[in-house]
Amino acid sequence: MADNFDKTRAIDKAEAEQKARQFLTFTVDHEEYGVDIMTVREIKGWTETTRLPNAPEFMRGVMNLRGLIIPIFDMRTRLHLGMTEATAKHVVIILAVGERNIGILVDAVSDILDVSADQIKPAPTVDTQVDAGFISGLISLESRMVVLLAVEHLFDMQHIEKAIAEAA
Amino acid sequence: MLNFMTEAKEDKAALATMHSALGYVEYDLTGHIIGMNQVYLDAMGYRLEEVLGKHQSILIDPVYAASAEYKRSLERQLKGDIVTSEGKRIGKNGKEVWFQVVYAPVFDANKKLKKIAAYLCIAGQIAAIQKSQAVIEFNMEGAVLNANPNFLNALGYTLDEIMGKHHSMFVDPAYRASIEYSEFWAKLNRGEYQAAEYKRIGKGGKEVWIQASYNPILDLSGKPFKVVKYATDTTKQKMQNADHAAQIAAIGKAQAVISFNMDGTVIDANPNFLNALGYTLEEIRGKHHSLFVDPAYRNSVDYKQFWENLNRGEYQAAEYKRIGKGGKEVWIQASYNPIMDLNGKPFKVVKYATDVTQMVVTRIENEMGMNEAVKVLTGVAAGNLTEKMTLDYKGTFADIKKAVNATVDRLYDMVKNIIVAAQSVNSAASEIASGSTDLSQRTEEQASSLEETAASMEEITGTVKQNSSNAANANELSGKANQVASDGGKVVEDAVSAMGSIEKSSQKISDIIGVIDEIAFQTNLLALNAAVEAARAGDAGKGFAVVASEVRSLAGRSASASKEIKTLINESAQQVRTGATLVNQAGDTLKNIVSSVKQVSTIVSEIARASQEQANGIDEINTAITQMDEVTQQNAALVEENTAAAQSMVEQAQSLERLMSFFTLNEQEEGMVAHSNIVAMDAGRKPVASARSAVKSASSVGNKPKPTASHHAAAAHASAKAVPKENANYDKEWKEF
Repeated sequence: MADNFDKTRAIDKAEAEQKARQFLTFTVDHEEYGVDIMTVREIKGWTETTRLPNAPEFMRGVMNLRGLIIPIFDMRTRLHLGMTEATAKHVVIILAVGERNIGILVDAVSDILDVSADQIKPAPTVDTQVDAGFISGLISLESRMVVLLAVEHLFDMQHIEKAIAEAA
Repeated sequence: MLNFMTEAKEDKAALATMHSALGYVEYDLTGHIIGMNQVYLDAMGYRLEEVLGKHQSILIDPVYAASAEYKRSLERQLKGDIVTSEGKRIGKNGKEVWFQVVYAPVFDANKKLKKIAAYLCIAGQIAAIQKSQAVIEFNMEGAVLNANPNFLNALGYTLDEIMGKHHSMFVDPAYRASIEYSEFWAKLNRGEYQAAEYKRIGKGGKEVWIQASYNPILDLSGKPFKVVKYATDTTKQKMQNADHAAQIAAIGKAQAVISFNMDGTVIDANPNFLNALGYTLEEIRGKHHSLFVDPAYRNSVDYKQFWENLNRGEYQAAEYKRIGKGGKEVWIQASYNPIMDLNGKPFKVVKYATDVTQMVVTRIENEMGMNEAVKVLTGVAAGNLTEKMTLDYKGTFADIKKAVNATVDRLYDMVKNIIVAAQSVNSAASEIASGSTDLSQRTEEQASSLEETAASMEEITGTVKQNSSNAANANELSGKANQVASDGGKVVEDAVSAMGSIEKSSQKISDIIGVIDEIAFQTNLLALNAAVEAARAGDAGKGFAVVASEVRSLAGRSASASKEIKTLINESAQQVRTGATLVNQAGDTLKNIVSSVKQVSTIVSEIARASQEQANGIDEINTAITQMDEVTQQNAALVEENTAAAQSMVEQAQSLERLMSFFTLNEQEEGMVAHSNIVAMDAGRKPVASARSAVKSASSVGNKPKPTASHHAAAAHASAKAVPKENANYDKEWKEF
């Protein structure tokens, strides 16, 4: 992590300010994924959620975050990798998607990556577990690959809204 | 005695005799004395002149004279009754004399009472008669009225026993039933006096001979009213006469008796004589004595001399040879006794003879037999048992021959039996001696075994004591082990407890690390949030982002460290758990050890107790062995005595055989006896002396067993050498038969 931190510091500051973007990376089932840090509202440990009826399978329920009802989605389920056995060590990342905040349940938060634009590669068509529509790009580091997710495409928000409304 | 008064026909001499024996007085009807004889005067001390014309009462006791009885007596006399009385008369100067008196009336021709005559028998005489003679009085029926002590003594009765009984109790039952006896009493009843020698039966059947007179006492009418019997016991004399007669008869029965006139002709001969010589009395009566003698002797001077001697009254006695009828030789032992007449001249010869023919014949045979018997018995005395009496004998010597020969035979058998028995005894004694030796050896072996047993017992005692001691030590050690194991258990428990504490501490540490990890996690999240915020802050947030990054780095290191610690703690906890398990196992093992040690301790205690019991048992065994040892020693002593006795017996038996060799038996018997002797000696050849040596070693019980085998061998050898020598001696002795 320190090495990553050092490397990111080595990037030219000026250029970086123009072109560099920061990504919050996290792991689900040993795969590393990243989201733009600017969409991140908050990172917190797992707490039990309130389950909603008739909700999609990947939706773990809703959470009251300082008065806001926030739906929580299980990334593992959404990635068709089964259901996460959530513990206090699991992490919920609160993201702003459009006008709405959602929480995604991940195994752990890995790093904050400072990445220049040229480092971001377009997503290949068929070599990840995720639908190509969800992937905004790939970051290839020395020994690892970080999948950048397009969160706004990841969940059918209308349906979710409906579910939340019905629950309310 | 008074019956003579009634005998009017008695001659004058008798009357005179009576007057000389009895007192007589007569007086007239007025009682005045008109006559008195000299007997009475002498008894009373008067002279006739002094009493003639005096009243008879001067002679009467005044007391009696005044009595009614006297008056009654006088009245009866005057009435003409015969009155008898006994009473005191007073003589001159008051002399008192007792008389028995009979007053008899004397009548004149007209049968008118003329005077009274009194005969007096001085009572002293009667008393004398009473003292010297047996007197008894009967009534006419024969019943006893009275009897004096002499009579009672002679027949052995008391007066009470015979008073009132009939006279027939004194006579022989045969005589009692006879006519003679009836006649006897009939005569007495007729008043007839009887005197003779009578046989009477005393008390208990005793025969008594008496010279007695039965005197009927008549009353005045001449009728007897009682019988007085005076008797003298002549039994002794009678018996003597009978004895003499019997003796003479006996001589006649036993001896040949013949009587001759002085000229030698036969007067008489008894059957013995006749039988001895085979003649009848008729054949020899009147014949001369020379008929019975050898013709040669008959003509000899000796025979003539023989008769001349007899005629001189000389007694002749010797053993004579006489010739019986048909020339039969008869030997007699005879005495010729000349019988003298009153003038001392022989008038006949009585010869008493005993036929000694048999005796003489026997005597000859006796001499022969005696000689042979002497010969045989001398042989026997010299030990020769082969001689016997062989001649023929009659009479006693046939018996003697039989007896002597039987004696020799019996002695022969006896000697033979004794020899055989002595040999048997010798043989048996040898076997006993041999048995004693065996017994001695066995006793020795027993003693040795006992000693070994005692030694073994000593070892066992040592072992048992060691065992007991070891058991005690083991007991102590097991106690200690028990203690150590118990202590170990406690330590294990402490260890387990410590492990538990460690586990708890590890858990706490683990918890703390969890907290640290949590904090690290939260810190990381906070740092991320800070980084997010910094990123949103743009350039303004860049410094902050650096700090957040540092914080994340620290949180990451903290989380990493806590992870390592957690790993280490887990490992430690794991190891502690393993340790606890091991310690628990050690605890279980220790518990098992304690349990085992307790069992060991129990077993050891039992071993100790058993050892003690063993020790006690061994003590008892030792006592028993001591007793056995004593008994064995006693046995040994007895065996020694036994052996000595057996040896002595062998010697005695041999000595007996030597003694018996004195007797001579015939050849065949000798062979048989000699053979059995050799057999007996073979039995005796066994070593006898070794018994003694064996006993000596046996008696040393308790010492180390000595090697006695060689000792034995030596003894056996010695005795084996000794016995054959003895045996040789015997063989030599036996050859002498």
